[in-house]
Amino acid sequence: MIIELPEIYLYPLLYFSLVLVFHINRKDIPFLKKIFIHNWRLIIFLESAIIYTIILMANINYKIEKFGLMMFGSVVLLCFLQPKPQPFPTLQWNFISNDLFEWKSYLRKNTWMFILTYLIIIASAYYPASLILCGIFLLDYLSHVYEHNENKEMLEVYFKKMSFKYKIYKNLIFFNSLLLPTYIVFIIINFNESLYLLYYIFFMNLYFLLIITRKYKLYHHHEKSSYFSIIVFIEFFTYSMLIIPAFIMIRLHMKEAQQNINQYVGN
Amino acid sequence: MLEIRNLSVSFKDKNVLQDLNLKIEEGKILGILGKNGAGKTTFFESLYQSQKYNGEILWQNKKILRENISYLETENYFYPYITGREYLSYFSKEKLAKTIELAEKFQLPLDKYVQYYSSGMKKKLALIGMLMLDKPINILDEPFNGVDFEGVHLLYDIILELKQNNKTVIISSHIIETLFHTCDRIVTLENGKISNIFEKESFEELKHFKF
Repeated sequence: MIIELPEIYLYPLLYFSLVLVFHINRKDIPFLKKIFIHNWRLIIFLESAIIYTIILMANINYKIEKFGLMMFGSVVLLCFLQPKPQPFPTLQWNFISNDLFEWKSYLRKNTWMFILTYLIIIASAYYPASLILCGIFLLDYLSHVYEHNENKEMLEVYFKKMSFKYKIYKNLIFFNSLLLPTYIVFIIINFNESLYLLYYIFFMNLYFLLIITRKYKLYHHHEKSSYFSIIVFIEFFTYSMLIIPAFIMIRLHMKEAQQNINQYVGN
Repeated sequence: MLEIRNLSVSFKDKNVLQDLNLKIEEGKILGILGKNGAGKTTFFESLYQSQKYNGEILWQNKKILRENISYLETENYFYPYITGREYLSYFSKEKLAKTIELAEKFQLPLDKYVQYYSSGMKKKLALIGMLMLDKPINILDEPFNGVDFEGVHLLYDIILELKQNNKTVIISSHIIETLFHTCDRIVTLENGKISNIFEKESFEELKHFKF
Protein backbone atom coordinates (compact mmCIF):
# COMPACT_ATOMS: atom_id res chain seq x y z
CA MET A 1 0.00 0.00 0.00
CA ILE A 2 1.45 3.39 -1.02
CA ILE A 3 0.23 6.30 1.02
CA GLU A 4 0.28 9.51 -0.97
CA LEU A 5 -0.78 12.99 0.07
CA PRO A 6 -3.28 14.65 -2.33
CA GLU A 7 -1.08 17.71 -3.05
CA ILE A 8 2.70 17.79 -3.42
CA TYR A 9 3.07 20.98 -1.30
CA LEU A 10 1.64 19.14 1.72
CA TYR A 11 4.89 17.17 2.08
CA PRO A 12 7.12 20.18 2.88
CA LEU A 13 4.38 21.55 5.14
CA LEU A 14 4.07 18.28 7.02
CA TYR A 15 7.83 17.81 7.43
CA PHE A 16 8.43 21.41 8.37
CA SER A 17 5.81 21.05 11.10
CA LEU A 18 7.76 18.04 12.40
CA VAL A 19 10.99 20.08 12.49
CA LEU A 20 9.11 22.89 14.22
CA VAL A 21 7.81 20.51 16.90
CA PHE A 22 11.35 19.16 17.38
CA HIS A 23 12.69 22.73 17.71
CA ILE A 24 10.01 23.85 20.18
CA ASN A 25 10.67 20.83 22.37
CA ARG A 26 14.46 21.08 22.42
CA LYS A 27 16.01 21.86 25.77
CA ASP A 28 19.65 22.17 24.70
CA ILE A 29 19.68 25.76 23.40
CA PRO A 30 21.22 27.26 26.59
CA PHE A 31 23.88 24.52 26.40
CA LEU A 32 24.61 25.28 22.73
CA LYS A 33 24.91 28.99 23.57
CA LYS A 34 27.63 28.19 26.10
CA ILE A 35 29.59 25.82 23.88
CA PHE A 36 29.24 27.54 20.48
CA ILE A 37 29.32 31.12 21.72
CA HIS A 38 29.28 32.77 18.26
CA ASN A 39 27.92 29.95 16.11
CA TRP A 40 25.05 28.49 18.10
CA ARG A 41 22.44 29.75 15.62
CA LEU A 42 24.35 28.07 12.80
CA ILE A 43 24.33 24.76 14.70
CA ILE A 44 20.57 25.03 15.23
CA PHE A 45 20.06 25.84 11.56
CA LEU A 46 22.26 22.93 10.41
CA GLU A 47 20.50 20.41 12.66
CA SER A 48 17.01 21.51 11.61
CA ALA A 49 18.00 21.75 7.93
CA ILE A 50 19.52 18.26 7.93
CA ILE A 51 16.43 16.72 9.55
CA TYR A 52 14.09 18.56 7.13
CA THR A 53 16.13 17.67 4.05
CA ILE A 54 16.55 14.01 4.95
CA ILE A 55 12.88 13.31 5.66
CA LEU A 56 11.71 15.37 2.66
CA MET A 57 14.12 13.87 0.12
CA ALA A 58 13.64 10.34 1.46
CA ASN A 59 10.00 10.52 0.40
CA ILE A 60 9.62 8.81 -2.97
CA ASN A 61 6.42 10.72 -3.77
CA TYR A 62 8.07 14.12 -3.47
CA LYS A 63 9.69 16.03 -6.33
CA ILE A 64 11.58 19.26 -5.65
CA GLU A 65 9.37 22.32 -6.13
CA LYS A 66 9.32 25.96 -4.96
CA PHE A 67 7.18 25.36 -1.83
CA GLY A 68 9.74 22.89 -0.52
CA LEU A 69 12.51 25.47 -1.02
CA MET A 70 10.42 28.19 0.64
CA MET A 71 9.96 25.97 3.69
CA PHE A 72 13.72 25.45 3.68
CA GLY A 73 14.00 29.22 4.05
CA SER A 74 11.64 29.05 7.01
CA VAL A 75 14.05 26.68 8.72
CA VAL A 76 16.47 29.66 8.96
CA LEU A 77 13.87 31.49 11.06
CA LEU A 78 13.98 28.71 13.64
CA CYS A 79 17.43 29.99 14.73
CA PHE A 80 15.67 33.09 16.04
CA LEU A 81 12.82 31.24 17.69
CA GLN A 82 13.89 30.42 21.23
CA PRO A 83 11.91 28.67 23.95
CA LYS A 84 10.22 31.00 26.41
CA PRO A 85 11.94 31.24 29.82
CA GLN A 86 8.54 31.26 31.54
CA PRO A 87 6.10 28.47 30.70
CA PHE A 88 2.73 29.36 29.15
CA PRO A 89 -0.16 29.46 31.62
CA THR A 90 -1.94 26.13 31.48
CA LEU A 91 -5.40 24.80 32.19
CA GLN A 92 -6.10 22.75 35.31
CA TRP A 93 -8.21 20.00 33.68
CA ASN A 94 -9.87 19.43 37.06
CA PHE A 95 -12.92 17.78 35.46
CA ILE A 96 -10.76 14.73 34.69
CA SER A 97 -10.99 12.10 37.42
CA ASN A 98 -8.01 11.63 39.75
CA ASP A 99 -8.06 7.98 38.69
CA LEU A 100 -6.77 9.17 35.30
CA PHE A 101 -3.87 11.00 36.92
CA GLU A 102 -1.46 10.28 34.05
CA TRP A 103 -3.72 12.13 31.61
CA LYS A 104 -4.47 14.92 34.05
CA SER A 105 -0.79 15.50 34.69
CA TYR A 106 0.13 15.28 31.01
CA LEU A 107 -2.58 17.70 29.93
CA ARG A 108 -1.61 20.18 32.63
CA LYS A 109 1.98 20.10 31.45
CA ASN A 110 1.25 20.20 27.71
CA THR A 111 -2.07 22.08 27.56
CA TRP A 112 -1.53 24.15 24.40
CA MET A 113 0.44 21.53 22.53
CA PHE A 114 -2.34 19.05 23.27
CA ILE A 115 -5.08 21.39 22.03
CA LEU A 116 -3.15 22.05 18.81
CA THR A 117 -2.37 18.36 18.30
CA TYR A 118 -5.98 17.44 19.03
CA LEU A 119 -7.29 19.79 16.36
CA ILE A 120 -4.77 18.38 13.87
CA ILE A 121 -5.85 14.83 14.74
CA ILE A 122 -9.51 15.66 14.12
CA ALA A 123 -8.60 17.43 10.86
CA SER A 124 -6.55 14.40 9.82
CA ALA A 125 -9.83 12.47 9.41
CA TYR A 126 -10.30 14.36 6.15
CA TYR A 127 -8.26 11.82 4.21
CA PRO A 128 -7.18 8.19 4.92
CA ALA A 129 -3.46 8.89 4.37
CA SER A 130 -3.45 11.89 6.71
CA LEU A 131 -5.37 9.87 9.32
CA ILE A 132 -2.68 7.17 9.35
CA LEU A 133 0.27 9.61 9.20
CA CYS A 134 -1.02 11.83 12.00
CA GLY A 135 -1.88 8.72 14.01
CA ILE A 136 1.77 7.66 13.84
CA PHE A 137 2.94 11.07 15.10
CA LEU A 138 0.30 10.97 17.82
CA LEU A 139 1.77 7.71 19.09
CA ASP A 140 5.01 9.49 19.95
CA TYR A 141 3.10 11.94 22.17
CA LEU A 142 0.98 9.19 23.58
CA SER A 143 4.05 7.24 24.67
CA HIS A 144 5.04 9.97 27.12
CA VAL A 145 1.67 10.01 28.89
CA TYR A 146 2.66 6.87 30.80
CA GLU A 147 6.37 7.60 31.17
CA HIS A 148 6.40 8.84 34.78
CA ASN A 149 5.99 6.57 37.78
CA GLU A 150 3.91 7.31 40.84
CA ASN A 151 5.63 6.64 44.17
CA LYS A 152 5.10 3.30 45.89
CA GLU A 153 2.62 4.66 48.45
CA MET A 154 0.40 6.11 45.72
CA LEU A 155 0.68 2.91 43.69
CA GLU A 156 -0.36 0.86 46.71
CA VAL A 157 -3.45 2.89 47.60
CA TYR A 158 -4.45 3.24 43.96
CA PHE A 159 -4.42 -0.49 43.28
CA LYS A 160 -6.08 -1.28 46.58
CA LYS A 161 -9.03 0.70 45.27
CA MET A 162 -9.13 -0.65 41.74
CA SER A 163 -7.70 -3.58 39.85
CA PHE A 164 -5.08 -3.26 37.15
CA LYS A 165 -7.57 -4.46 34.55
CA TYR A 166 -10.07 -1.81 35.62
CA LYS A 167 -7.42 0.88 35.38
CA ILE A 168 -6.65 -0.21 31.83
CA TYR A 169 -10.35 -0.27 31.00
CA LYS A 170 -10.87 3.27 32.33
CA ASN A 171 -7.86 4.62 30.47
CA LEU A 172 -8.90 2.89 27.28
CA ILE A 173 -12.37 4.40 27.49
CA PHE A 174 -10.88 7.85 28.02
CA PHE A 175 -8.42 7.44 25.14
CA ASN A 176 -11.14 6.32 22.74
CA SER A 177 -13.49 9.07 23.83
CA LEU A 178 -10.72 11.53 22.92
CA LEU A 179 -10.44 9.94 19.49
CA LEU A 180 -14.21 9.62 19.01
CA PRO A 181 -14.61 12.92 17.09
CA THR A 182 -11.88 11.76 14.70
CA TYR A 183 -13.67 8.43 14.18
CA ILE A 184 -16.99 10.19 13.52
CA VAL A 185 -15.55 12.79 11.14
CA PHE A 186 -13.78 10.04 9.20
CA ILE A 187 -16.96 7.99 8.82
CA ILE A 188 -18.90 11.05 7.65
CA ILE A 189 -16.29 12.12 5.09
CA ASN A 190 -14.84 8.77 4.04
CA PHE A 191 -17.57 6.24 4.60
CA ASN A 192 -16.38 4.04 1.70
CA GLU A 193 -12.90 3.82 3.24
CA SER A 194 -14.12 2.55 6.63
CA LEU A 195 -11.62 -0.30 6.52
CA TYR A 196 -8.84 2.25 7.13
CA LEU A 197 -10.65 3.43 10.23
CA LEU A 198 -11.02 -0.10 11.53
CA TYR A 199 -7.29 -0.67 11.13
CA TYR A 200 -6.57 2.73 12.70
CA ILE A 201 -8.68 1.89 15.76
CA PHE A 202 -6.93 -1.47 16.18
CA PHE A 203 -3.51 0.04 15.64
CA MET A 204 -3.95 2.94 18.07
CA ASN A 205 -5.56 0.83 20.79
CA LEU A 206 -2.95 -1.92 20.61
CA TYR A 207 -0.13 0.61 20.86
CA PHE A 208 -1.91 2.28 23.77
CA LEU A 209 -2.25 -1.05 25.60
CA LEU A 210 1.43 -1.83 25.03
CA ILE A 211 2.45 1.51 26.53
CA ILE A 212 0.25 1.36 29.62
CA THR A 213 1.13 -2.28 30.42
CA ARG A 214 4.85 -1.56 29.89
CA LYS A 215 4.72 1.05 32.65
CA TYR A 216 3.69 -1.43 35.32
CA LYS A 217 5.78 -4.25 33.94
CA LEU A 218 8.89 -2.11 34.51
CA TYR A 219 7.74 -0.29 37.65
CA HIS A 220 10.26 -0.08 40.46
CA HIS A 221 9.93 2.29 43.40
CA HIS A 222 13.46 3.62 42.88
CA GLU A 223 12.71 4.82 39.36
CA LYS A 224 10.84 8.06 38.77
CA SER A 225 10.26 7.19 35.15
CA SER A 226 10.09 4.19 32.85
CA TYR A 227 12.31 6.02 30.31
CA PHE A 228 10.68 5.75 26.93
CA SER A 229 13.03 5.74 23.94
CA ILE A 230 12.84 5.62 20.15
CA ILE A 231 13.78 1.91 20.26
CA VAL A 232 10.67 1.17 22.32
CA PHE A 233 8.62 3.29 19.91
CA ILE A 234 9.84 1.30 16.89
CA GLU A 235 9.34 -2.01 18.70
CA PHE A 236 5.77 -1.25 19.78
CA PHE A 237 4.97 0.39 16.46
CA THR A 238 5.96 -2.81 14.66
CA TYR A 239 3.95 -5.03 17.02
CA SER A 240 0.87 -2.83 16.63
CA MET A 241 1.19 -2.75 12.86
CA LEU A 242 1.29 -6.55 12.73
CA ILE A 243 -1.56 -6.82 15.28
CA ILE A 244 -1.05 -10.48 16.40
CA PRO A 245 2.43 -9.91 17.98
CA ALA A 246 0.89 -6.95 19.82
CA PHE A 247 -1.79 -9.21 21.34
CA ILE A 248 0.90 -11.66 22.49
CA MET A 249 3.07 -8.91 23.97
CA ILE A 250 0.12 -7.29 25.75
CA ARG A 251 -0.75 -10.63 27.32
CA LEU A 252 2.83 -11.08 28.54
CA HIS A 253 3.05 -7.49 29.80
CA MET A 254 -0.23 -7.86 31.67
CA LYS A 255 0.98 -10.95 33.47
CA GLU A 256 4.31 -9.44 34.50
CA ALA A 257 2.74 -6.09 35.41
CA GLN A 258 0.18 -7.81 37.62
CA GLN A 259 2.93 -9.74 39.44
CA ASN A 260 4.89 -6.54 39.92
CA ILE A 261 1.87 -4.70 41.32
CA ASN A 262 1.13 -7.60 43.68
CA GLN A 263 4.58 -7.18 45.21
CA TYR A 264 3.61 -3.70 46.37
CA VAL A 265 -0.06 -4.18 47.08
CA GLY A 266 -0.19 -7.80 48.22
CA ASN A 267 -2.80 -10.17 46.92
CA MET B 1 8.02 -9.03 67.13
CA LEU B 2 10.37 -8.21 64.26
CA GLU B 3 13.26 -10.64 64.27
CA ILE B 4 16.34 -10.42 62.10
CA ARG B 5 18.54 -13.52 62.01
CA ASN B 6 22.00 -13.67 60.42
CA LEU B 7 21.20 -11.01 57.83
CA SER B 8 23.97 -10.65 55.24
CA VAL B 9 24.11 -8.72 51.98
CA SER B 10 27.01 -8.56 49.58
CA PHE B 11 27.59 -6.69 46.33
CA LYS B 12 30.21 -8.44 44.18
CA ASP B 13 33.15 -8.87 46.60
CA LYS B 14 32.00 -6.38 49.21
CA ASN B 15 30.05 -7.49 52.27
CA VAL B 16 27.69 -4.61 52.97
CA LEU B 17 25.84 -6.28 55.83
CA GLN B 18 27.44 -9.09 57.85
CA ASP B 19 25.53 -11.44 60.05
CA LEU B 20 23.13 -8.94 61.60
CA ASN B 21 20.95 -10.16 64.47
CA LEU B 22 18.25 -8.00 66.02
CA LYS B 23 14.94 -8.31 67.83
CA ILE B 24 12.51 -5.41 67.95
CA GLU B 25 9.33 -5.66 69.96
CA GLU B 26 6.05 -4.10 68.85
CA GLY B 27 5.62 -0.55 70.08
CA LYS B 28 9.38 0.00 70.25
CA ILE B 29 11.42 2.59 68.41
CA LEU B 30 14.85 1.58 67.19
CA GLY B 31 17.42 4.12 66.03
CA ILE B 32 20.17 3.22 63.58
CA LEU B 33 23.31 5.29 63.70
CA GLY B 34 26.10 4.92 61.21
CA LYS B 35 28.43 6.80 58.92
CA ASN B 36 27.76 7.10 55.18
CA GLY B 37 28.25 3.69 53.59
CA ALA B 38 27.78 1.82 56.87
CA GLY B 39 24.89 -0.16 55.34
CA LYS B 40 21.84 1.62 56.79
CA THR B 41 19.95 1.96 53.52
CA THR B 42 20.85 -1.60 52.46
CA PHE B 43 19.47 -2.77 55.79
CA PHE B 44 16.22 -0.89 55.15
CA GLU B 45 15.98 -2.16 51.58
CA SER B 46 16.41 -5.71 52.88
CA LEU B 47 13.61 -5.20 55.40
CA TYR B 48 11.45 -3.79 52.59
CA GLN B 49 12.21 -6.91 50.52
CA SER B 50 13.68 -4.98 47.62
CA GLN B 51 17.20 -6.24 48.27
CA LYS B 52 18.35 -9.85 47.99
CA TYR B 53 19.81 -11.10 51.25
CA ASN B 54 20.91 -14.17 53.13
CA GLY B 55 19.40 -14.93 56.51
CA GLU B 56 15.90 -14.47 57.83
CA ILE B 57 13.64 -11.54 58.55
CA LEU B 58 10.56 -12.59 60.50
CA TRP B 59 7.47 -10.66 61.56
CA GLN B 60 5.42 -12.47 64.20
CA ASN B 61 7.38 -15.65 63.43
CA LYS B 62 6.58 -15.61 59.68
CA LYS B 63 8.66 -14.39 56.77
CA ILE B 64 8.13 -10.67 56.53
CA LEU B 65 6.03 -9.36 53.62
CA ARG B 66 6.24 -5.96 52.01
CA GLU B 67 2.62 -5.35 52.90
CA ASN B 68 3.62 -5.24 56.59
CA ILE B 69 6.03 -2.36 56.06
CA SER B 70 5.90 1.27 55.10
CA TYR B 71 9.19 2.83 54.14
CA LEU B 72 10.01 6.54 53.97
CA GLU B 73 13.09 6.84 51.82
CA THR B 74 15.77 9.53 52.01
CA GLU B 75 14.65 11.06 48.73
CA ASN B 76 10.98 11.32 47.88
CA TYR B 77 9.41 11.76 44.50
CA PHE B 78 5.84 12.36 43.41
CA TYR B 79 3.90 12.16 40.19
CA PRO B 80 4.41 15.48 38.37
CA TYR B 81 1.65 18.08 38.02
CA ILE B 82 -0.57 16.83 40.80
CA THR B 83 -1.29 19.02 43.82
CA GLY B 84 -0.58 18.04 47.43
CA ARG B 85 -4.33 17.87 48.06
CA GLU B 86 -4.86 15.54 45.10
CA TYR B 87 -2.00 13.33 46.30
CA LEU B 88 -3.55 12.99 49.75
CA SER B 89 -6.98 12.29 48.27
CA TYR B 90 -5.70 8.93 46.99
CA PHE B 91 -5.37 7.74 50.56
CA SER B 92 -8.34 6.60 52.63
CA LYS B 93 -11.35 8.92 52.30
CA GLU B 94 -12.30 8.37 55.94
CA LYS B 95 -8.92 9.67 57.03
CA LEU B 96 -8.80 12.57 54.58
CA ALA B 97 -9.83 15.17 57.19
CA LYS B 98 -7.11 13.98 59.57
CA THR B 99 -4.61 13.97 56.72
CA ILE B 100 -5.46 17.51 55.68
CA GLU B 101 -5.22 18.63 59.32
CA LEU B 102 -1.75 17.14 59.59
CA ALA B 103 -0.69 18.76 56.31
CA GLU B 104 -1.91 22.12 57.58
CA LYS B 105 0.06 21.66 60.79
CA PHE B 106 3.11 21.10 58.59
CA GLN B 107 2.10 24.27 56.69
CA LEU B 108 2.10 22.50 53.34
CA PRO B 109 0.68 24.51 50.41
CA LEU B 110 -1.77 21.80 49.38
CA ASP B 111 -3.04 23.51 46.23
CA LYS B 112 0.43 23.82 44.74
CA TYR B 113 1.89 21.22 42.37
CA VAL B 114 4.10 18.88 44.38
CA GLN B 115 7.11 19.23 42.08
CA TYR B 116 7.40 22.85 43.22
CA TYR B 117 7.67 21.84 46.89
CA SER B 118 11.02 22.15 48.67
CA SER B 119 12.75 18.89 49.66
CA GLY B 120 11.59 19.38 53.28
CA MET B 121 7.98 19.83 52.16
CA LYS B 122 8.22 16.73 49.98
CA LYS B 123 9.54 14.80 52.95
CA LYS B 124 6.58 15.94 55.07
CA LEU B 125 4.04 15.05 52.38
CA ALA B 126 5.63 11.64 51.84
CA LEU B 127 5.56 11.06 55.58
CA ILE B 128 1.83 11.86 55.77
CA GLY B 129 1.17 9.42 52.91
CA MET B 130 3.23 6.78 54.64
CA LEU B 131 1.34 7.23 57.92
CA MET B 132 -1.97 6.83 56.11
CA LEU B 133 -0.94 3.34 55.03
CA ASP B 134 -1.17 2.39 58.72
CA LYS B 135 1.36 -0.47 58.62
CA PRO B 136 2.69 -2.27 61.72
CA ILE B 137 6.34 -1.61 60.80
CA ASN B 138 7.50 1.86 59.81
CA ILE B 139 10.95 2.58 58.45
CA LEU B 140 12.08 6.20 58.42
CA ASP B 141 15.35 6.77 56.57
CA GLU B 142 16.73 10.19 57.57
CA PRO B 143 13.27 11.64 58.26
CA PHE B 144 14.68 14.87 59.74
CA ASN B 145 16.70 15.82 56.64
CA GLY B 146 15.61 19.19 55.28
CA VAL B 147 12.77 19.51 57.80
CA ASP B 148 12.50 22.88 59.59
CA PHE B 149 12.62 23.37 63.38
CA GLU B 150 8.83 23.27 63.85
CA GLY B 151 8.60 20.26 61.55
CA VAL B 152 11.15 18.35 63.63
CA HIS B 153 9.02 18.83 66.76
CA LEU B 154 5.90 17.71 64.92
CA LEU B 155 7.84 14.71 63.71
CA TYR B 156 8.76 13.83 67.33
CA ASP B 157 5.05 13.89 68.20
CA ILE B 158 4.18 11.72 65.20
CA ILE B 159 6.81 9.12 66.07
CA LEU B 160 5.63 9.00 69.69
CA GLU B 161 2.04 8.59 68.48
CA LEU B 162 3.15 5.63 66.37
CA LYS B 163 4.68 4.11 69.50
CA GLN B 164 1.45 4.67 71.43
CA ASN B 165 -0.41 2.87 68.66
CA ASN B 166 1.90 -0.11 69.16
CA LYS B 167 3.72 0.34 65.84
CA THR B 168 7.31 -0.72 65.38
CA VAL B 169 9.45 2.16 64.14
CA ILE B 170 13.01 2.04 62.80
CA ILE B 171 14.72 5.40 62.26
CA SER B 172 18.08 6.38 60.88
CA SER B 173 19.53 9.81 61.39
CA HIS B 174 22.85 11.62 61.24
CA ILE B 175 21.76 13.85 64.10
CA ILE B 176 22.21 11.93 67.35
CA GLU B 177 19.96 14.30 69.33
CA THR B 178 16.95 13.48 67.15
CA LEU B 179 17.39 9.81 68.00
CA PHE B 180 17.74 10.58 71.73
CA HIS B 181 14.34 12.27 71.65
CA THR B 182 12.53 9.45 69.95
CA CYS B 183 14.20 6.04 70.35
CA ASP B 184 13.97 3.28 72.93
CA ARG B 185 17.15 1.71 71.70
CA ILE B 186 19.95 2.83 69.37
CA VAL B 187 22.26 0.52 67.47
CA THR B 188 25.43 1.63 65.75
CA LEU B 189 26.29 0.16 62.41
CA GLU B 190 29.92 -0.01 61.32
CA ASN B 191 31.15 -1.71 58.15
CA GLY B 192 27.96 -3.71 57.90
CA LYS B 193 28.05 -4.98 61.48
CA ILE B 194 26.23 -3.95 64.62
CA SER B 195 29.04 -2.61 66.76
CA ASN B 196 27.07 -1.38 69.80
CA ILE B 197 23.57 -1.44 71.25
CA PHE B 198 22.54 1.36 73.58
CA GLU B 199 19.42 1.14 75.72
CA LYS B 200 17.64 4.36 76.75
CA GLU B 201 19.45 4.48 80.11
CA SER B 202 22.84 4.54 78.44
CA PHE B 203 22.15 7.15 75.72
CA GLU B 204 24.42 9.58 77.56
CA GLU B 205 27.39 7.42 76.50
CA LEU B 206 26.55 8.19 72.87
CA LYS B 207 27.39 11.87 73.42
CA HIS B 208 31.03 10.89 73.65
CA PHE B 209 30.80 8.02 71.18
CA LYS B 210 33.24 7.94 68.28
CA PHE B 211 33.14 5.63 65.29
